[in-house]
Amino acid sequence: MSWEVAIERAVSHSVPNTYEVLARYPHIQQLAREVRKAKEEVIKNLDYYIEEFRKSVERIGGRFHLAERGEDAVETAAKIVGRGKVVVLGKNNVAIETGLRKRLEREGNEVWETDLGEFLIQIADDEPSHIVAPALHMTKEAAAEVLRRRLGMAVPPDPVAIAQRVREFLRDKLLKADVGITGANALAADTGAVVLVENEGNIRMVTVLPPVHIVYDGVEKIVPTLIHALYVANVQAAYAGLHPPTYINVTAGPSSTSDIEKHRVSPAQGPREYHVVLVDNGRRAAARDPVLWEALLCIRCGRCHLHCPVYWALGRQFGKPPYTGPMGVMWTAVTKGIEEAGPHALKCVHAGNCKEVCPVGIDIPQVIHEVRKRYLKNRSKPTR
Amino acid sequence: MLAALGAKTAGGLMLRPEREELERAYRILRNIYYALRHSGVEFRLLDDEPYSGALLYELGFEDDFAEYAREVYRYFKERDVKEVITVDPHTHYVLERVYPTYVDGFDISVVSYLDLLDAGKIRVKISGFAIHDSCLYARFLGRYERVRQLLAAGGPVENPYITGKETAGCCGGPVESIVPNLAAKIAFSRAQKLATLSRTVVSACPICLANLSRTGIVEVKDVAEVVEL
Repeated sequence: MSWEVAIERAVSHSVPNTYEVLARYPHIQQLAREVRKAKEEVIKNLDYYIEEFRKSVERIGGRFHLAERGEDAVETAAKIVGRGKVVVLGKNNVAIETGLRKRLEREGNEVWETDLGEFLIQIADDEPSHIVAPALHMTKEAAAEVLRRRLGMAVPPDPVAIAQRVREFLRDKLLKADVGITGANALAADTGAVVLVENEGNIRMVTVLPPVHIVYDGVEKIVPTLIHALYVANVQAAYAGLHPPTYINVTAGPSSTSDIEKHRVSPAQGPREYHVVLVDNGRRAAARDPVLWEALLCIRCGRCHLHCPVYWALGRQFGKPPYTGPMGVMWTAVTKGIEEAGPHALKCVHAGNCKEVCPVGIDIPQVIHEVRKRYLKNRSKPTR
Repeated sequence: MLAALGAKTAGGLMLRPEREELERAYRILRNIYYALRHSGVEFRLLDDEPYSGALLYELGFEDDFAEYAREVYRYFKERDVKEVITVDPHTHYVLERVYPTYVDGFDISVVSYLDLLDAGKIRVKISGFAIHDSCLYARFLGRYERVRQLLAAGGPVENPYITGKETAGCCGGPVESIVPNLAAKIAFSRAQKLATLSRTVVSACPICLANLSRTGIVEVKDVAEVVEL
């Protein structure tokens, strides 16, 4: 089955759903404007908000780690996890950006992706094609084939059957897990809380079942307050065409109880450790860039992909996984630099659909044009 | 002054368009000329009109574009041009939105011919066609509704997921010179979708016209070929 079939199916399911959600819940557009304002405030004062967030995480009994480069982030997480552990992951693009899973595996850990799409990518030893739906390029037929070939699972090419079979397989891993690692839809500077939005229920289990929870994501996910973080979750889900989301998870520190004498102690049923590893990897430099800064507003809804004629034609060859599609070209520039992003920026047709459908109104064509311009300028410099 | 970029780009980005294509481009320009005259617009033509440099800008060659744009501006000023009527979206976009950033004191007003046509007098010669919007007109220059207003009498076939402002695809033209295979793929897919609405497609952009025509899937006409005043 080809990419053309897969993308056609995805667009025909998701695009009408998103329009329907936005028509049914018109207040979401107001929330999206609030999200833009909140994120702009943080990007303009990023170092201040990183520090505020750090203080909040420590206040609630968590441990805060700031990593300048991707390698530093991976090493920090590897140190927290240790060796010979069972690790479960919630879908996490920054983990892919920095190569976290493979690094943990090298330490003899058993590491499992628990998001269905990401799990399929893991067992196929493949790369993700979409920021929200990593296995978008796999049709149901391809997904069933991967399960059969890699894990010997006999499952019909039916999404319900595939989800059920993978659920059975992963349930055991989730119960055995020593460490759960998630990303973040938003991080609240006022409380140190992480907000995660999902539909599968895997993230809820990853954040609660293992004794250690590591939040691993980029510094740009910080918003001023927990209320803003909840706005982000709602807006992200709606613009992904999945509203109301089945779950919005809020985690603010290790589990605790104050049931005895009103004295709060930790842990209780959930994790005993709450770590936040924040990754810079080009983000703080982008925040200071007169054009690239806008990329940091992205809330990862993945809507721009589904309206982009270049993505329809090329899929994950437009951008570098996990950052593909229009937002992906910008984010390849943020995390890997102009030289890596440039060849992808050259493929942009400047159709402008991405800008029209972006919940936070990022002028994506302009950012991509800037990447293209800088890339060509670098190349026209005389070499010694 | 009537910008004749249309003629220069009607053959896609080929340097030497076929004679037939060239004649068609001139026919389109003549139609625009008369449509404007019949709408009561007064204007003159330059004998030798400079290209806007849109391609240099679109490809990202900023310094070359900036130098070229300053030359074009000087050329206009020497001829006392105060207002330019554009006949294609790429020239319009670059003159109106980009020149002011690169040319100090740029003070020439830019008007699209689409806005000058007398919609009350327009007769649409064909019906049951699909509209393929130029990306620039629809999503950057605010002409999505205007194109529909001009073509309304022809009863265009619309589908919100094929001809919607946010959902319509590009013709692929802007990457024709860099990644021709990608341009062809995008054009093919766009033409296939349009063909589910109608085999006849109307566009207001010479690049769209060339790129979609090349697919052989749909017959593409310029707006100026189907409206009459």
